[in-house]
Amino acid sequence: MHFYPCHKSLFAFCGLDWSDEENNDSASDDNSIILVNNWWTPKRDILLNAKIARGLPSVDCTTLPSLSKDTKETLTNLGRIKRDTIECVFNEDEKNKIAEVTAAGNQLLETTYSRNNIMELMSYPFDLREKKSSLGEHNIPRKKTISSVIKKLGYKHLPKEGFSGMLVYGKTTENNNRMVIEFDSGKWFYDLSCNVILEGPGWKYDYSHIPCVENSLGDTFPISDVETIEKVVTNFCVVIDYLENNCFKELDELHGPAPKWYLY
Amino acid sequence: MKLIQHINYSLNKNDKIDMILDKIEDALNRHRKEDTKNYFFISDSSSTYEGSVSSVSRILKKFPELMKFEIVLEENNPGIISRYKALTNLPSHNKFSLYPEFNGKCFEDVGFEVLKKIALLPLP
Repeated sequence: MHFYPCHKSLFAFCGLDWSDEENNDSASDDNSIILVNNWWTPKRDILLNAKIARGLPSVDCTTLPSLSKDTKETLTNLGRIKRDTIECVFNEDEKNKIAEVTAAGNQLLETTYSRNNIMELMSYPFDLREKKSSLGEHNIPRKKTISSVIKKLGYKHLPKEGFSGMLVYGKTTENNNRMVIEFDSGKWFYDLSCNVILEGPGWKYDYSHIPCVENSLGDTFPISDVETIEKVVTNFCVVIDYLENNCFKELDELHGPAPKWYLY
Repeated sequence: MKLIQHINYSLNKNDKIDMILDKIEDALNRHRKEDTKNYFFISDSSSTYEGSVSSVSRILKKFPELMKFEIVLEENNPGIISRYKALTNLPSHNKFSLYPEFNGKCFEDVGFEVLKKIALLPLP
């Protein structure tokens, strides 16, 4: 058996010719295989990624054109594919336009939809004020309960996203942008917090640690039993539903549609 | 706008580095253009202290021709500046942003066979 005992190591093999698409303006580094093999974490940090420069599909395309059979075969042979995503790399003009729209979006978040304003509007089905100061219990199973509550708002579990201790749910908007809900159980799995995200190609808004208690600006709530999870998530859903149908709806319209072929 | 498709693979500690490299080599043989480059970055821990085993030194002992790629990195922790060794041919401001900015001194290519031998060095 072989080991590679380096604290950090990265190998990037560039200049691959993946497909028969025309990518004349792509740098050699855009078509590459990258291997990271670090030994500084207890579980060992080992990553393998392949990057493929793709031609820009026409506007009416609903999916990206298929890669060549040869490329597909090579990519499959490299290992078990975990995620397949698209990154849009923008030129300076495009970046400036996105930054301009995002600045207007952030202004909206800081004024109309500030935490203070949202706090005053929220009315929760469960009063959790007393329970907020209780102690959490370690390792209460939560996926089944969270899934059953959040699915009522139309969100699907995204098992390939997030990290250990986090459950991620998502749905696409009418504009093919994406709403993402993250439930984070914290480092020691004692509590639960919730982040609401809206993202599209080249932009993202993150409403982290949303509240679930009256007069609160944001909560990380201690979890003592399954019943508490259900109540906390039901309260979180009040804020999620409000953000989705007001604040994030406006932001979604502000940025406009993402291409139909865009993969998250 | 350019599009980059990212394929991320699922790996764990049971995936042997030699088997992964064999698969990469197969992909390079099938798809690589001529005149392209292998980049690498290998470093010790910033907490590597004097007298402890340095991975970089072990590699240089076996492959002295890589001496030209050796750089010293600094990490500023509260009250202590740690200095540790690294080997790299990455230019600064590179696309592989997992690592801090640094000033490399040699940007020549290193063959896949050499990188593979380094990767397969056994534990001390």
